[in-house]
Amino acid sequence: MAATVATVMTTMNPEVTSNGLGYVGKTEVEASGSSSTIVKKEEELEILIEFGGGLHLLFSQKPKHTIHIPCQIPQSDLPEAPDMRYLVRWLKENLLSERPEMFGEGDSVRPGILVLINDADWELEGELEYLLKDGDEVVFISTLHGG
Amino acid sequence: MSCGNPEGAVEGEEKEEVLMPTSRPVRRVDKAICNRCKKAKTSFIFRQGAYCSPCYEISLRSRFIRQLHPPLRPGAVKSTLTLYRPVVQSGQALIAVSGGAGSVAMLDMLMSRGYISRSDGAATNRTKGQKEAVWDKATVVYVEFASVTGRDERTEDIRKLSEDRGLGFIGLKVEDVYDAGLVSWLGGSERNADTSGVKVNFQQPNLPVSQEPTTSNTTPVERLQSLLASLPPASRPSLLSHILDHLLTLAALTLPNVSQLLLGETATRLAQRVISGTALGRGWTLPLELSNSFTLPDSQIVRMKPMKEISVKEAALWCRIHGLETVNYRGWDDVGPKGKEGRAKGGAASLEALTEQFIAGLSTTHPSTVSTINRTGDKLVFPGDTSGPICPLCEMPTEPDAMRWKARTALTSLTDPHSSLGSPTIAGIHTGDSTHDNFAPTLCYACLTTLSGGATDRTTGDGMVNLPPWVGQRVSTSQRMVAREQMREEIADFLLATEEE
Ligand SMILES: [Zn+2]
Ligand SMILES: [Zn+2]
Repeated sequence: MAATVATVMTTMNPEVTSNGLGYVGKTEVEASGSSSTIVKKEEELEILIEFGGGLHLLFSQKPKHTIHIPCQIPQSDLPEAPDMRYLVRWLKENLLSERPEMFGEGDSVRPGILVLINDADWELEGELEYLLKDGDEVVFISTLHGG
Repeated sequence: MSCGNPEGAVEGEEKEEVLMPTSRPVRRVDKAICNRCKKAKTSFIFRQGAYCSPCYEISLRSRFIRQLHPPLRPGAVKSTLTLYRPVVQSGQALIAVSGGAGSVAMLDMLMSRGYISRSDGAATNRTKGQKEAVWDKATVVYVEFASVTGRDERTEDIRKLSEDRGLGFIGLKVEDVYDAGLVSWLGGSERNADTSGVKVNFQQPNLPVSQEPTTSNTTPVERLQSLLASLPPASRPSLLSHILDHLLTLAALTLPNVSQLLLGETATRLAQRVISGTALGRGWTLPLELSNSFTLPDSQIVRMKPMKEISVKEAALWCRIHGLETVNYRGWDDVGPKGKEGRAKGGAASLEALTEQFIAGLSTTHPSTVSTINRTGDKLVFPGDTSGPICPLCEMPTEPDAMRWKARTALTSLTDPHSSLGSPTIAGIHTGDSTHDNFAPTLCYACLTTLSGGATDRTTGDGMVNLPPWVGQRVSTSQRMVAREQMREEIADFLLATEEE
């Protein structure tokens, strides 16, 4: 679902220039929901994701990923910025390649997976409630042995 | 950039927390300033406080030294233990590295603080205050489990990690337990080379073993895989852990001049050991397993666990800060063919995996779970003596009372109907059949549980499965101990009767 939003983007936003990572901001014209015809301006956030402790095996064997997520949670009535809860769900739906139970539990990550946001423990940043910013670096490290 | 957080985000966050309380309440700490130096911005949180990165490293190092020094300076005054470095040890350190956060962080702390001289002659980075090395030589030992877990081999990664630091490297494979040439490969002289053909019959509850010449041309991997396949999935992690212990101990005893064997077992793993060990019936020898200073049997080699005050999360952060790649997942719970047995929530088959999930789950809401469990574990004292009978599988002392109890309860069903005495047939001594020794009576309670349920539907053909040679060797030694126990049991009534008169 979020991936769809990311690919629908059409118009270049002249106000936004490349941030040096090859990413150029975009705008999107889309009707948000069936009841509304308001034309909403949307952009993307670039988030750097890293998996450690062997967790990359669940994500196409790749330890580092650069992802783009909408800067407002799509299909939401309220203009909400994506938080960690949204990111965890997004990763499960778009990036996870196998054994989802090894990564997620409920709407969070499985206990035993350590999360760092910009190299700080996510517990200091509000965990699932942390609101993502463009260029954030999020690291997931599994400390689990599995028996 | 225009795409920032919307106004009122903080308000929204607070409101959400009141309306939708999560199962994991966010801990309220002063996250702005480091609890230790009271200056820097915090990065990490552990136990009840938040720390900046340098203070975090200082805390980890001091807890490491607190455990590392005492076994190296026996008899030293406690207050001086962390102040002064132990003298240069007479032998070399054998460092067990699995590639997980605990052992990799341990290796890094030992090397970065100059505890070990680089054997390749490269100058140690002697910064101000750098002290003399404690070991002139060290070797890293790694055991590869890829052949049974199906995961990627990591031998070359660990070899590079070791050799980059000027350390010796020994790469073993889990199936090497079936390799008769292992001891000589490690540089020792083989004492008993004819034990490769010991087989156990899982179809009978007393687990008879028989010596068979190695006629089959099965490879060590195939023999190990068939042993694993014949056990219930829940027992496989226990077996693999005994094999790992055996290989590490064997390497320590065989390699030249080893004085210490260092394991990177973290506080988190030790807490799991306390809980799962208790549940598995391993409580009696638990204090020996938890010890940071355990002398390996028939040797002067001390097995140490200097990471025992550092959690796996802290070790993982250390590796992250220092750019060290780790793989923590070993997946022993998933080894071998799937059984018919159900798996618990989260997919766990074994008590080991269940305990790990249980403690990880508790720790998210109760951060002191691990240290609380370990405080209890530290109070345990081994009540027996280590010179008694040894369990052939886990190579730990067996509880004498448990042995007698087991002989009476677990094996009474085996009573020979033709025997006038009606006494249980123990270790083959009443059967008159000296070629068939029984494995079950020699095992400790926990290992008997591990191997029981090596059910008939799992084994193929005659139900005979190759035992690792070390187990076969130990069974024959244990037979004699059991026979002595059995004899004492039988004459006990007469002894009491005479006393009463
Ligand atoms: Zn500080
Ligand atoms: Zn045992």
